[in-house]
Amino acid sequence: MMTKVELETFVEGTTNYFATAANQPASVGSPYIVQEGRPTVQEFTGLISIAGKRRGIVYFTASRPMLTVMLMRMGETELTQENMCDLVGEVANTISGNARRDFGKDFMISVPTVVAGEPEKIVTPDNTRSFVIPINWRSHSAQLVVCLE
Amino acid sequence: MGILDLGRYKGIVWAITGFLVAFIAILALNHGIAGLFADDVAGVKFLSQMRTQPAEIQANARTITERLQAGEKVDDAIEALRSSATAYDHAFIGLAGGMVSDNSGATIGVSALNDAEAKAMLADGEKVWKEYKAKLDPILRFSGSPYAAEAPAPAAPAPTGKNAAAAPAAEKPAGVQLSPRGRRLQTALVELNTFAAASQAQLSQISTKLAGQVEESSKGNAALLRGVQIGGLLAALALLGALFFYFARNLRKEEMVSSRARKETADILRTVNEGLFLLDKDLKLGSERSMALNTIFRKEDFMNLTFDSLLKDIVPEKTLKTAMDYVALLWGERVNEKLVKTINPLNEVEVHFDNPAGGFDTHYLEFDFNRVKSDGSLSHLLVTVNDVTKRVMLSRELQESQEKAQAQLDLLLRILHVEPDSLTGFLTDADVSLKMVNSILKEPAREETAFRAKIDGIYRQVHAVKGEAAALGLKTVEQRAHAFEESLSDLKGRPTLSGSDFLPLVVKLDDLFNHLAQVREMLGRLVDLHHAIAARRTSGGGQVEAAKVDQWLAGKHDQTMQMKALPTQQPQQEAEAAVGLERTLEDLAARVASSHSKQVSLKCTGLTEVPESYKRAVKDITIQLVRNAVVHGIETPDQRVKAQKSETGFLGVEFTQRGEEGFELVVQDDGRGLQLDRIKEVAVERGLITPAQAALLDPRQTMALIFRPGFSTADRVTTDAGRGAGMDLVRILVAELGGRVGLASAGGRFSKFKIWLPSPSRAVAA
Repeated sequence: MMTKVELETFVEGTTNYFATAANQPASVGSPYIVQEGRPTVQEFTGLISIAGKRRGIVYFTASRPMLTVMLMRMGETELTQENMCDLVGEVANTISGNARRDFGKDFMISVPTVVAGEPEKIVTPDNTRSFVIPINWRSHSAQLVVCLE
Repeated sequence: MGILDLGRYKGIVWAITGFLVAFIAILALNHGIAGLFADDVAGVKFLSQMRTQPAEIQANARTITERLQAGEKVDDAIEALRSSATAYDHAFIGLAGGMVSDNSGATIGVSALNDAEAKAMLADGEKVWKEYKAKLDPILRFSGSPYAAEAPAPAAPAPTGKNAAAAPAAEKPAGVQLSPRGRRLQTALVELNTFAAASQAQLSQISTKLAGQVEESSKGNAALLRGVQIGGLLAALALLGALFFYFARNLRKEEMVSSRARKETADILRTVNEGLFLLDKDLKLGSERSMALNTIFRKEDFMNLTFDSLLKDIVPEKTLKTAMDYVALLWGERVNEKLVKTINPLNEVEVHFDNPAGGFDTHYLEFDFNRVKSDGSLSHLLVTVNDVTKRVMLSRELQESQEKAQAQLDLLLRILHVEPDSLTGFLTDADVSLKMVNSILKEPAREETAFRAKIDGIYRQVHAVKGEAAALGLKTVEQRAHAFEESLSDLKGRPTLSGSDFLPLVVKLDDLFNHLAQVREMLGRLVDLHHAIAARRTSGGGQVEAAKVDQWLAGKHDQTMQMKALPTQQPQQEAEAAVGLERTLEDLAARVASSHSKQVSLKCTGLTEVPESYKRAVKDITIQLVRNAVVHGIETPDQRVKAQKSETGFLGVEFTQRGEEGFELVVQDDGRGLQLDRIKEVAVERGLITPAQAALLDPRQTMALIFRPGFSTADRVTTDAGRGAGMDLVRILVAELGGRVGLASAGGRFSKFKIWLPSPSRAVAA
């Protein structure tokens, strides 16, 4: 069963990124569960896979407008698809780093992969509920999705 | 291995030894023949010199003659003659013994001189030389002066030498007076010269012939030498050829053996299902390994790979460290291998391969290590790897199913006491409630007020689930819902709220969903069981079991266990007498009463008449009110006796239709009634009203306080009461249906909740 500490670790990893890299903290929205069907996938998704004591995926998914504003806040002038992919990849990387630090050596965490669009590429483990945690930043809302067996 | 125990090298050692012996023998033969050849050459040279010696003697004799004629001194000339004669004589003596002298004066035997022909020639020569020596003798014996005493002093000596022209002995210059001895000398010289002239050619010829014979012999030796050399060369070549043949044959044989062995090894390594490889001291993988390794590790290239790098990407760091420590342990010389094997941490190691489609593929590998010794010391570790994923998964599934079966058995024992219809109803309602909770959570929220607004809504849903679970005696569900409520209480008490604070709620919600799914699964199995038994019954047999299940499904679960045999005909109607909600309420009342050491008798009427669309609400309301009545209203038996009441409290639930307008639900008890002072006190304590407001409240207003959220007179929070959500839930449910709540109470005598609900059609219209 998913524990509170595990969820907090992933959330913390995400909010840390906003606080440090995006120069403006994000707030955590009201979390909920997706029981059946696919959890939300927006235009850009940074994903890490987890194995070991727990198995599954964790991803951060955000919309193009949100990433555009983030890039601008970060002083990036080239608002290209590539930079947006890099950005969600970096968020996923921060989540992964946080998880590595907190979960210790019992876990294996993959390098982040980035999916632009194509929600069918994001495969959650069967018969596992996903936790969706909205990450609100300015007027935008991204999602952190945790789906672990 | 002994020095003569040459093993597989025996052949080659013998062949090389043979070759060397033959080579030495040929060398020795060659050397011997070459020696003979040298002797012959020396012999030829000696004989060539000898051929000129008679001429030299003759020349010396002539010199003496000339000197005599010239009246010169002859001593030195005689000496020269003696010397040459002696040398020639020695040569003859040597030749007679088959010996010659070389340049250095050493004597050398010449075999060619020993044959009969040579001997005969030598004998002829000796004979001539003997006569020659007789002629020489008077001359060589001469000493002193050959001249008469009055003779003048000798003039300067004429040139001497063997090439000097010989003058006739008879002629002498006038004035030279020879003494008588001188004259005899002269005569002897004349005789000698005559003989020498006659015999010189013969002697020279003998020397020449002998030299020719020796030369012939030398040629023979040279031919022999060549023969030996050629023979030796051929023999050496033959031996070499034999050696090559031997080697080639052996090499070919060995090559065939090793190639067959290599092929067999390759076949084994290609076919074997285990991953096999060797690890050296630096923990590097050996070059030979089984093909299965490619499949197991999903890679082709293992060149220069270390054990560490083989595992690094597929196991967590902790496992990797353990593995490396263990392998290092195996390299220790003084290690009990069997003992160490028992602590193999890689016995069943979980590995994760990157899946190209994203994520990991998890497998389980079994590593076995065997220490390979060579010449008594540890040289390698043989590592055997097996993919035991299926085995592990099966055993885990088995273990999980055993654990699950145990948990389900516990659950089964609990739900066997619950009426199936009630349980199905509960599961449906609870699922709706939890989904509602999730919907509330899903509502976007950024501001604190939005978060806070969620709490009450969630509370009501969870409380309803908890209430019903408690009513059904589903302790495990009740406990989970209670824990959920506690989290909610905690949130409510916080000064600020954010989404992070709600994380524990989703975790608990997930847990509740999971648990209810288990209960549902269990129920499903029981129903399946019923169908299975029913099917058997139609084909005869299994009557008792079928009846038991029927009993349980009909709600007569308590009797099910005691049922020994099937009575003649069980009236179906009787089984249906105690219907869902009534049964639930009875159980709830009994259970809550028991946990509060109270006695209660519940009487329900009209609950079967509840319209379908109200069933859920009526259930939730009656559960809350019945529980409240038992917890707060009914007194303990002692208190009741003191108050001159029966020990058993009475609790009535009545549902009736009130004309076409609607329905009335009455829940009343004969307990202590509402304690208005206590209500005011608690309301002030909980901050719902101020003391001043409390003083102004009339009884009706005071009673209304119990419907306020968060109101409870219970001293502590239990699963039955204390959080003050129950009456709030009742109020909200009634309000949602467009109904009204009425409350009447008399201290120490009774409490009565009267709820009016509009008819469903009106409620929809409203």
